[in-house]
Amino acid sequence: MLIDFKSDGGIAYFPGLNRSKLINTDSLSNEDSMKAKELVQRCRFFSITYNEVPQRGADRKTYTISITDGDNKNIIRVSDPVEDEALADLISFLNKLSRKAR
Amino acid sequence: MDEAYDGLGITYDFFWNIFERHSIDDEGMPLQGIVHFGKEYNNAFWDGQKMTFGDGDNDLFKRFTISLDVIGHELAHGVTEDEAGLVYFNQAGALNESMSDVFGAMVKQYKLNQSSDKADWLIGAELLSEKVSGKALRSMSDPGSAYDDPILGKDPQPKHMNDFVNTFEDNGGVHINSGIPNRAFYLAATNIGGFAWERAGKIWYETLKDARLRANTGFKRFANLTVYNAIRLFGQGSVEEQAVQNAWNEVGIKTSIKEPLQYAH
Repeated sequence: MLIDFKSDGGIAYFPGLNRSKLINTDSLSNEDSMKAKELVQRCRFFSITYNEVPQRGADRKTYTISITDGDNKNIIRVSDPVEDEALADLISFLNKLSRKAR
Repeated sequence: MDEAYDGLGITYDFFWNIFERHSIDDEGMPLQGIVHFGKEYNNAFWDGQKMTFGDGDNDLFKRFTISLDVIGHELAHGVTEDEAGLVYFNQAGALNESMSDVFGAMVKQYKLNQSSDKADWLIGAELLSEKVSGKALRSMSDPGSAYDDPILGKDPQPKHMNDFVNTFEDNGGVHINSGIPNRAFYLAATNIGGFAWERAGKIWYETLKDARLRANTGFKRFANLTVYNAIRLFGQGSVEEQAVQNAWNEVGIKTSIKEPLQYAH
């Protein structure tokens, strides 16, 4: 499974943190790989549709997530606060993986 | 939680005691803040109704309630949205961001009873961890100098229109190009002297409330309106008007007054 994760926005612009992260679950530890797949499944990633542009507010982070798994592919864009709890858990985990990869 | 509560209280006091503004909407809107948002969440934001603060990952960032100016920054987004509705994109968005830094910095200076020449003019000076090579999120006095770190990268803020950044990132560079109006405010406040909120802050606040501040206002129109308001408040040819004109000139924005000075406010 290939995951392309980008976090944009927030209270400040940091060039080093604004880059897209490509995560190949085959390259993760067994535990992280299983967790990533479980969270993708739990939020039914391949059947949800989000393409949000916040109408109000400021300093919100916007997440663009593209996942390919065999024939399944989907791309979504959501902004904080993410109401879908399962999706919020996936984003939190992808943030954690991004931090590990620094 | 106490930190957020106290910070929002100080920010309310600042707006009330200095500008006689009764909360975000000037009608006593309750101040709602969420703390401990998410897991190791590196951000604080305004969602149109309330402020939200993360705890930080304790690797690069500490908790986002640690800096009073960050709390003031988020609350000020509500004030700007209520008064001017500045579109959160390109120059209008950078002005929106700059207004929050201006008020956030003044809230901190008000709490510390600091005159403009004694202030550090940093936003989020307490927020970065010891691991980070940097002193804050932004510097209003010297945009572009807040951090230069292997992980965060280099602070991209320009301090002059010659270095204006055209980008689709960051909502069209709202946190990047805000360095230009931020420095203009710093220059105006320090050239006028005294407490920033007494004169420069008053001019910026009255400009925010000016009915001619459109939602899509760019830097030049905003700069002209600050000059109008400096004249309206302190008189034509006043030290304040000169300081404001010089400040914008120094960041590469030449102000012009073509319209009549008389207008309904």
